Amino acid sequence: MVPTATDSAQAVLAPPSNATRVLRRLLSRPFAVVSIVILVVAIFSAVFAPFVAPYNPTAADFLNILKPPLTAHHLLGTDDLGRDELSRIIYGARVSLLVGGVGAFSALGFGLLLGSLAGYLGGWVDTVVMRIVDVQLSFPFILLVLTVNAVLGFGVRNIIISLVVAGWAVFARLTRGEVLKVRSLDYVSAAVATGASPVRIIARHVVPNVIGPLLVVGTLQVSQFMIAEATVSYLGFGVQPPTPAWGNMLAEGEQYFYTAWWMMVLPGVSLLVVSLAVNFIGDWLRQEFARG
Amino acid sequence: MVVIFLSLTAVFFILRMTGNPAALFVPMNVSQTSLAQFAKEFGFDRPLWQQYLSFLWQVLHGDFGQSLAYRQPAMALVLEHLPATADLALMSLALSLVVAIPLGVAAAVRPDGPLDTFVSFVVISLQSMPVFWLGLLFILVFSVDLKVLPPYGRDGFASYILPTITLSTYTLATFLRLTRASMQEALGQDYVRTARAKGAGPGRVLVRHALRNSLIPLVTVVGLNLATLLGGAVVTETIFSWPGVGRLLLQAMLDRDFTIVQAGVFLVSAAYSVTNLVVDVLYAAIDPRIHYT
Repeated sequence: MVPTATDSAQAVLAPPSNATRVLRRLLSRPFAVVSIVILVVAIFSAVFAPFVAPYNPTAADFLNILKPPLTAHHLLGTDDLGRDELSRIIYGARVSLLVGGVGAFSALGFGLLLGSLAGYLGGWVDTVVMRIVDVQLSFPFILLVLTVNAVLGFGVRNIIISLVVAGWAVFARLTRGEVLKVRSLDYVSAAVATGASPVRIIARHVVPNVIGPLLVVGTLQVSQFMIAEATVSYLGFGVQPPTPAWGNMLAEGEQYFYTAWWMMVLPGVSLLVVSLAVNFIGDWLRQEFARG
Repeated sequence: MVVIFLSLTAVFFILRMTGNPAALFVPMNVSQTSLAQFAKEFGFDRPLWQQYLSFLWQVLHGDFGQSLAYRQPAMALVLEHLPATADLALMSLALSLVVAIPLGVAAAVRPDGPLDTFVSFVVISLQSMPVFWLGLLFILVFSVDLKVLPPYGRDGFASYILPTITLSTYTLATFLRLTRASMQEALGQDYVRTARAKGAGPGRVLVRHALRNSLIPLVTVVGLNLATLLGGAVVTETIFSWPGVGRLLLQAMLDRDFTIVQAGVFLVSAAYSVTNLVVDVLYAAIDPRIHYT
């Protein structure tokens, strides 16, 4: 079809969409791009672990124990029971990403809910919730996670619950601040006057304003939760062996740091790289939201 | 005060949620009579609310009960381990500040310069770093490979080095970021321009005017970060087998030694409240604009 004058006019008049602009800005920031790629690869390997990993992560092979990286058939070496490190790291990514992702976003949701309630309803609800938030934020995070996990017992589900219980406070405080700000705005008073229900007001006015900072803090919390899970598992709680998780792999590897340094170094490097990726993405999000 | 009370209550009930403490603590193959005896000795056979009330009453008298594992007064045991943690924490705090303040200031003075970029890189690396792994790496490199520093225990000055460095990384990122940000803000203020216009040399302007003002928010943040330090201490002390409160608490949690956990939590809460009180007073003393009338 021959391009007509109207076609080009339309091209000039239609500005690039928001999505295009964001994408262009993103591409000009190499760290963020690399981070997204790394994260996608990590998530992909974690989800499709049974297909991506070369070996069964719990399959012991006593003829091949403690082989260093770059041995034949074992790219990252083997551990003290002959299990393939690469496979274990891939499966470990499952645990970490699951715990970090589900945990952080559950904590976000829970904190958003309680924070909105506290800010909107005010009164004793506000006082009670905020007191609990104060107590929680004044306590070392790791100790909180450990205590709750000690009660609940081991396993991935319980560590996620522990992290959410320990970590919702910061989101609640953020949301409550935002709700208080919005509550006094004119258009909100107008909405209340016309009979809009609190739920509608929160959903339509509070959430769009607060979602930005919440997402930024949320991504930071993803990496914090991943690291906390690894720490807690290393200390003896959380996820137990033989389930491969980077934390307990580090604990197992500690005994062998003389002879098999890779058992201790590799899971840590994986954790560091994924955390870095998540944090760079969070940084990019923060800059995007700061543009207003 | 309320915070301490709430923490204590929370811990009390959370710990007992795991089940009958007597059954949890005592080894599996013990007879019923011994179990009952143990329960009676520590009062676990009374109704929960009774246990709670007598617990509160005892706490008011400074009595935290006996440690289930060590058969010694719980609080005394915790206090015994306190100096080890306290000096590690103080040294780490000092190291953190000594590194963060000059670096943060230097980075703020030349925004987007090489040092500024370096600081940004350090901050984000530290925030993504599993510190316990860093500690293990330090042991691997310095104690095992290079054999220059002791890997564990608390004896002699050299044994302080690795744990202190490890613990300080917890707070280093926060302090760096804050110093740089508040220094940048201070440097943009009018009084800085006035001072330069008056002919003050750049060094004097920097230190006497900008720095003093940017240190104020840092003081508050130091108080708030005590919790982070204590949490970090749990991990660091475990890695380096440091005989401090953190490691004691962790072990007590693993062993289900409730009385120690209760005593420890109380201490942590109390320390936090006291520190923040001190910080508030200090803040008012430093900043002449604040009056607590």
